[in-house]
Amino acid sequence: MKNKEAYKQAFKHVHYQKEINLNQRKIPKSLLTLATSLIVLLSTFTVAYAFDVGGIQSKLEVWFHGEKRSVQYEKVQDNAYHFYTTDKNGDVVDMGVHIGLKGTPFGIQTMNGDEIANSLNDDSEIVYDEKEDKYIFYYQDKAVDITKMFDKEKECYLVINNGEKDIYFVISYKDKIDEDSTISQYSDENAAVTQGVTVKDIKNRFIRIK
Amino acid sequence: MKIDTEQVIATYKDRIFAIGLTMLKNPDDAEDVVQETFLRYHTYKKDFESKEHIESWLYKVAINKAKDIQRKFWKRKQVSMEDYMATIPFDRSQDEELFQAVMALPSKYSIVIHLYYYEDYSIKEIAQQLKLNEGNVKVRLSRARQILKEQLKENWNNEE
Repeated sequence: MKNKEAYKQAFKHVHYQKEINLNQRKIPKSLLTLATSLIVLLSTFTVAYAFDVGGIQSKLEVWFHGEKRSVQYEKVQDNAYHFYTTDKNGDVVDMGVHIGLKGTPFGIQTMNGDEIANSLNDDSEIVYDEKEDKYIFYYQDKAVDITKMFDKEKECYLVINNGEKDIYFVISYKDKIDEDSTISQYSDENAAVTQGVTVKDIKNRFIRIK
Repeated sequence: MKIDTEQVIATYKDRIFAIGLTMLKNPDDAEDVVQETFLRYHTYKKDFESKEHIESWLYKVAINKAKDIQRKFWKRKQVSMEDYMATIPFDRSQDEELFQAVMALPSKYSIVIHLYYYEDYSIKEIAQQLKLNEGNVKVRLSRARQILKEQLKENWNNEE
């Protein structure tokens, strides 16, 4: 069976069962508050339930969107781990599936879940804040609005001290910052940014974030 | 042209529900996507050029709605995916495994896979629908196929 046939076969019993209400409703504020409270209670229960489902291997703290978050993961394939955290309201936040590779004296090896969690601490990310129409760059406890920090080449240079050393970031994009941007991260001033150009050569371009 | 809402609902409710489910991995949230998409259609005053235009518009609204729900801090999982899956009468164990594997994909991969394999969209059409460039769609499709292949082994072919 071809993939398309197999896919359609797998989804053929997915049906929407409920009635569709085409009347726009206004919910009284008191009811909305009550509903929200119930949702939070339900979600707290669900979080506990979801995190009790078999396969959860560990509980660790990882930097995520500028905050240290408690993180759990579930092994979903041989080398792939699905990470979750919770926000300040206790709601589950999906951190996606991660596969990690590391160099060892015996060659490239895959990371286990704990190792991937530790490596996430050194990860950076760009998130689009739709409400504020801003692009926020996150690295450990730093949240930087980079929306207007790009030059004509659509590149942005940042340097952040992580408590141990300076980390240099070169962020570039093609069309949309949050969809096709690339973040290059350097911890060594002698690292090559492009052929023949090191971080040290262009150090004055980097804006220090405190 | 504007097709009667009831007719549009009959044609697209399952397909929009599947899109919501693929992106949000949660039946309750997917139901919200269906509800809000058709309400939006029902109250939309402008005309459409064709049936294809209506379909594309509905999917765009549904995908945007799903993205909104993803961003909301109170995104819920009242009904777990496991409970929901127990209600689906899969014909074969392979169907269930494939469905489960798609649900385990990160949303940015699963929506691309779904539009390609279920809705028969071309890479160009997916790029337009998701406001991505075609290169990004190809990369996402390729990574998603790779994950599905690793998980489903002989039940997922190497063909495109």
